[in-house]
Amino acid sequence: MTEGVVASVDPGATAPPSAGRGRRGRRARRLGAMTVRLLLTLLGLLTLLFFLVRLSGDPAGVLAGPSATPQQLEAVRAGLGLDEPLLAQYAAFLGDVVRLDFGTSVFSGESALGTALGALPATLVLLVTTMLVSVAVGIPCGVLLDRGGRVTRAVVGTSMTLAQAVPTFVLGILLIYLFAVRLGWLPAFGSGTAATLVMPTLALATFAIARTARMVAAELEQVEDQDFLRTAAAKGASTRRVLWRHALPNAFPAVAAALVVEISYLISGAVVVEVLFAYDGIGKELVDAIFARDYPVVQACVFVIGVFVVVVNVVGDGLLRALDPRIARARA
Amino acid sequence: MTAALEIDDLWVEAGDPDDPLVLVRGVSLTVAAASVVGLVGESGSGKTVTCMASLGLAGRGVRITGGSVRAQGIELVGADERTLMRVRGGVVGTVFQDPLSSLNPLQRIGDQIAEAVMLHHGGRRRSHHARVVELLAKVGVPAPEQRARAYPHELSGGLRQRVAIAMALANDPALLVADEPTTALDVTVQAQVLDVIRSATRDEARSALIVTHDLGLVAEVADRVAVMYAGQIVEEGPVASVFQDPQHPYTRGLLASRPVLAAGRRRLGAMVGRPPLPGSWPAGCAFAPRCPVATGACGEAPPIRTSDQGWSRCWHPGSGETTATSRAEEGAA
Amino acid sequence: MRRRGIDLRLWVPLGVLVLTIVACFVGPMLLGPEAGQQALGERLAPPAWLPGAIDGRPLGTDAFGRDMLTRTLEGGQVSLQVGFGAATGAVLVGMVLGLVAGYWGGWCDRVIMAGADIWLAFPFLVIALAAVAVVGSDIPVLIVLLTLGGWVLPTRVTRTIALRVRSEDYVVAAAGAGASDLYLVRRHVLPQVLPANLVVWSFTVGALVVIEGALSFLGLGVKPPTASWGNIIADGTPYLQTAWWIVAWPALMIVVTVICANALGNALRGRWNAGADVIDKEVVP
Repeated sequence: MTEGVVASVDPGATAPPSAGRGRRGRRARRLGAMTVRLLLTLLGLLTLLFFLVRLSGDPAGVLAGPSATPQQLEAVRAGLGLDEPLLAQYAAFLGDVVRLDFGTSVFSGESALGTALGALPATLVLLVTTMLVSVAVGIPCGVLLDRGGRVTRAVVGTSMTLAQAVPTFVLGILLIYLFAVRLGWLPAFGSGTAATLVMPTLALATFAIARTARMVAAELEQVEDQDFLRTAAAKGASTRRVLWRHALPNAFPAVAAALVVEISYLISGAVVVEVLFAYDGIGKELVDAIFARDYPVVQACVFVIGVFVVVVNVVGDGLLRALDPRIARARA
Repeated sequence: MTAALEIDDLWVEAGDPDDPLVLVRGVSLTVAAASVVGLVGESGSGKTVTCMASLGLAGRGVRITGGSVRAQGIELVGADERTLMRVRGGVVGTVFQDPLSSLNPLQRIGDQIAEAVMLHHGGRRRSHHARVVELLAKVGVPAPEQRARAYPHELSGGLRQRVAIAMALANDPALLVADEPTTALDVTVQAQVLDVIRSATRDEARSALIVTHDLGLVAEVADRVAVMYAGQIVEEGPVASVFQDPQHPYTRGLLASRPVLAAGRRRLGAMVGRPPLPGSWPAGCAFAPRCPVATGACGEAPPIRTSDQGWSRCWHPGSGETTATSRAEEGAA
Repeated sequence: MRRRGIDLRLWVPLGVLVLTIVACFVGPMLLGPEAGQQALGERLAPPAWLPGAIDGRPLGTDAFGRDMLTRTLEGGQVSLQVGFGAATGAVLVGMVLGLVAGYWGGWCDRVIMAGADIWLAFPFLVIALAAVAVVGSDIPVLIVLLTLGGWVLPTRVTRTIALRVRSEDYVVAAAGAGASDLYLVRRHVLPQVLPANLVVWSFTVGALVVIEGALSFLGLGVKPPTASWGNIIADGTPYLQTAWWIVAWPALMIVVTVICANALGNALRGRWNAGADVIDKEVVP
């Protein structure tokens, strides 16, 4: 190899000096767009919430109790600002939201937002364990679904079909029947201990496992024919190494992105699971508040869940972009 | 001295075992020590399958049904994974056609080269950094220290293919297998990559099997050439004698259909028809339907005729250039 | 389309679904109104093959002595009406929005797609819970609500297809030759959009039957004594230890319905991949 040849190669190989600035500008623009989307999402959520709650039902009636005189009712209404025009109420409501003031629980008298936030950690624990289980079980299942023999594929595939078809609450009841009623291994209800986390996690994770497995299998099939897997094998890597070091990492971004989007489904499932297993999370708090017509708490719970989902989406998206060198270091 | 690669009567098929699609029909090919062999043919002739299947890299569903493949005397057909792993990368380095898709997009190129070294010499990837830089410099990657930290998408096509070659040479293999190494590259870059391959073979007395449809490439780097058609080798011999005096009409057709600047005003001889796809290969001589000199005898499998230092598989070997060219032109008109 | 005997993957799930619908809407009439009445003397009777079973109550009775067969079929009426109704609504809404977004594009497209993105970020069940708590929950409300829960998928599918078809050479040529948008949509876009949306519809039925079940399981679906698979299961949960059959039958029905709906979707998808190609070939000269 002569020096001349080396010197003449590939003018496009060196990144132009402006690349760094362009990248930062793009990142700022992306962040801006995301913030706007986040705010829009929250605004939509809150608007929906406000009109749903105010347009029907009569919070004042609930608060004052069935034996209240019209004068008392009027007083409560004025106290809540319910006698003002709807738009004024809406503006006041948004103002309260900005100040993070959701009022107090009609029953306990405590801050509604405090009540909602207080119930959030238990739900987070449930979601995190569910995510971990769904990844830990879903990825191997996905590998089997793609790489297994005919029998393995059929067995795993059928299990996944079943896991996707059985609703979370039916599965939860099945688990209670099996592990609590029949075998007596686990407590059927409650929260706070590790044992009470097992069945809610299983009930919630089953669907997510099936989804993850299908995603992994689909991505592996996509990656399957890529030359770099053959290159790895040609270097002398074992089949196992090719799979775990080269194929799966390349399948991972798409799977992780799906998991991030999945969080809003998981939250919905968590509501059902928490009620079923009397697990004291924000979902159960919400349903209890709905039945008690405790609107400040309902609003606070929906707000907190909404913010959580949106934040997970935005942060997750950003994290994935940061981790994928093709995107993170891409040149314009 | 052991040959670098000895393929003996290799049969390869794919698809449903009960109704298989035969891709390679009894290919025998030897790459002697320190020699470079070009394997040429049109797409679908089985040239890529032959060399990928030999290394067990042909993918799911493609299987060897007969024959033997020895790299440096080590049998690869039916070998366990451990043996294959030792041979791949250690004895045989492989370069693929598309340098972008053949590099892992999520790993720095330095790490990918280091992995190749690590798989055969142990240790951790980081401990092979010096060797990585040395390899990158050897294949002519400028600023190898910095480039080792780049991701594949940050490099141009030519640099990527240099990286792929560096990876193939990582453990100083006795044999380099390159599948269409320049096809996916810009014309201006092809010559440079060719230089790298030439210096990796000639200058270091390394053997190579180069699969290509580019006869010019073969003329430049190879010592011997094997021509494949319909899953069989139809002619094999030293590059000089095959190119000057082709024995098989298909070889003559291939040579006639390449534009030669020095050939003056002579019309380009286009070959009649298209190569048949696997599964629809004619009985007897598979080339007969397109052959300008075919006779009734060609319905039978042709005999192998040896000549000089090569051989061909034809009933009418070496039947003259004039006839072939004029017949081909007639057919094309 | 090629004929090669009966495609079991298509006809078995379709047959089971049709059978389920017929059984749910006709069955209770045949069984008579008496079976659905409370009969406190016949509480928690087991299915026919267990000791202690009562004649004429083949699947047992619930905590109020009501016939489980009748209750399960009646519950199916609500669940299936809501599931099929809302899925149909979602697909219709989705097709209109998707066509507008994909065919006319521009700011319509941006607004609709941004809306879809934002909507997907909402935890739907949470919204639905809040809505039902406030608006109430008779069948029409549930259908409208779940229509909102399912519109994004058909919208996206329709948009993608419309976008693709619109840029096909033959459509561009027809437009250049003076064909009206309405004509082009009817002639070229709809034939490709409809099969795909039937597939989407099938999957959506399954998803919405589950959501309806979850809502009524939480006590926020139709009001008792009207039965729905979800609220029968909720009512039966306290009796899990002594009378598993109260939960078992409606749960089984949900699972079977969802599996069949998904299987039907898969079968249709497999079939119409080929169908779409046939359409392509007929349209392209």
